[in-house]
Amino acid sequence: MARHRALEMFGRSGNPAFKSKAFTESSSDFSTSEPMTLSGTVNKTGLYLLLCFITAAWTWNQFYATGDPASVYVYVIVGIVGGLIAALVTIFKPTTAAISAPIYALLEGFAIGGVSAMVEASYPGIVIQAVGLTFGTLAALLMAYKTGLIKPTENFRLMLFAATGGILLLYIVNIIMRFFGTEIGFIHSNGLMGIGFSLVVVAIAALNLVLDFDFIEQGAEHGAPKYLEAFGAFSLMVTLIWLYFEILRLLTKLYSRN
Amino acid sequence: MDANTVFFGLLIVGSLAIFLYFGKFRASAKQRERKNRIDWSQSLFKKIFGSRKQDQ
Repeated sequence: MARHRALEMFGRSGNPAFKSKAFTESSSDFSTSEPMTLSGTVNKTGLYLLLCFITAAWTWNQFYATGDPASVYVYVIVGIVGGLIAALVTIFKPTTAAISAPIYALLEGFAIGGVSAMVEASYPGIVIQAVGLTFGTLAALLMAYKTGLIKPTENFRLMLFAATGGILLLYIVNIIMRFFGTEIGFIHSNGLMGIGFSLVVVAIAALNLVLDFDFIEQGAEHGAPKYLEAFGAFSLMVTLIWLYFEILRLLTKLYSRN
Repeated sequence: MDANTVFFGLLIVGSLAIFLYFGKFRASAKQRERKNRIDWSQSLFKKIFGSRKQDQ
């Protein structure tokens, strides 16, 4: 019953798709369900990171045990496709986030572990740098947000939405072009254009973290339903994983120049 | 263990500690008490396409 009430107020779709009543009514209006909290969201993010790490470590070990990239291809593909399905389920049905978000984290771990192990085999030491830079960016932007140094506004959200959509479109066009034996050169090139492109994408991915922080902060402030804790943690995971892959790609380009 | 692992390992541990500790605190008043905050109650799609309808 409480879940239905929350759905009426917050709507079915994901991240920014709250319904207008949500933030104008206090948590007491959700008296039948527990409200979302900041600590709950942070704890869930920590848990999902741990789950992701466990499966990533497993695929990583699998690669180094055999030394054969073919041994982890299946895990990478299952991780990417399964992760995409879990993500879509979470986005279109946020009430299931408590179940689908940990599944997403586990599946993405398979993909991350496999890809990271293959890159590490070519460029030793690169993965710990990418992980360090990803978490470093997370902590720095969190502090910048909490202290009010970065103030996300509607224009900021619109700008990031357009930029993220543009990158997504470019990647889709690139995938389609690959079917015809060609691709957009600068996405993977290690020239100045390719590195510049990667830097821009890393910056956009990082700024998406600020939107996630604001979404979580306002959700907790207005006593949003409990299931949005898992949804907020899921949003953070999606952005962090994207950021990690982009940083890894940028570092790969830089390493391959030497 | 080389310097690369030590430096970035410490960065990972420190950053995670910051996230898990400070993430639980509310943002500063400077962040919360401003008038141009994002209105998460409105979908961006609705905002864009809703304003287009109004223009027409």
